Amino acid sequence: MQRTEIDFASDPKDTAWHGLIERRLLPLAHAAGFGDLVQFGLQLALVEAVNNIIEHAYDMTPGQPIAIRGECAADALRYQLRDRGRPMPLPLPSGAPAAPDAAGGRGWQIIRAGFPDVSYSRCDDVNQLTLSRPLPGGS
Amino acid sequence: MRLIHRQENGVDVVCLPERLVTANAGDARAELKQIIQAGSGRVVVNLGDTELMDSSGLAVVVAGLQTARKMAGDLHLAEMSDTIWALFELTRLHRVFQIFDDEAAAVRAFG
Repeated sequence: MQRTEIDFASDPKDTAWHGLIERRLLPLAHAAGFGDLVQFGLQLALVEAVNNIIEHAYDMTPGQPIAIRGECAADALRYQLRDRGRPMPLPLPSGAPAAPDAAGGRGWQIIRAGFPDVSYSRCDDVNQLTLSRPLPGGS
Repeated sequence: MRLIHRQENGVDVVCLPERLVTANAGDARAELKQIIQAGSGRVVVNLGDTELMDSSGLAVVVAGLQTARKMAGDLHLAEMSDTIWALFELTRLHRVFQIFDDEAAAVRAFG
């Protein structure tokens, strides 16, 4: 099993973490055999999930901890995002398409398009969002 | 942030940055709105340099479209990469915008 982990501090005005996702987490998707377009979709989904942490869990407060662990298991590519912000309201959004001319509401659509399996838990004040996608060619 | 902007045949042509994401979307949205409102409402947004766009970035172009249409104009998109196209397709925004392969065609389409 391949694993990698990144951690960084929330900063609503900084995009350095985008590079971390690209350089450290996406190679797992490449190694798993996902094509370029799927990898782009996974990248976007991870960006949206981190955006949600920064905007909603941390309410745009800079300097708060975010960690993402990626692993490529026998059955799926999985990323676990952890933060110490506000709990995520449940149920998780369905990712239903936004109205065509709606200004927002597309983040969860992008997340669920990249990762069909999404689960959330909170333990000891830590939010953990797990995003999974079956490996290509898997049953 | 400063969006690259010029006028061509009465059409405002605006180039979006390499990354249009939450961190810069607010500024880009305000600047695009200002450009549109100062012009005729006929706008071409060139996405040729844009490699990454998140949902906040999409909101920038949707807001621009709404501003243009309030002025009885329109906002055309041009030169998007295959990956950005896939994002528009996923979010069904490809049905909302007129999308052109190249900037010149997007300008000409205004007549």
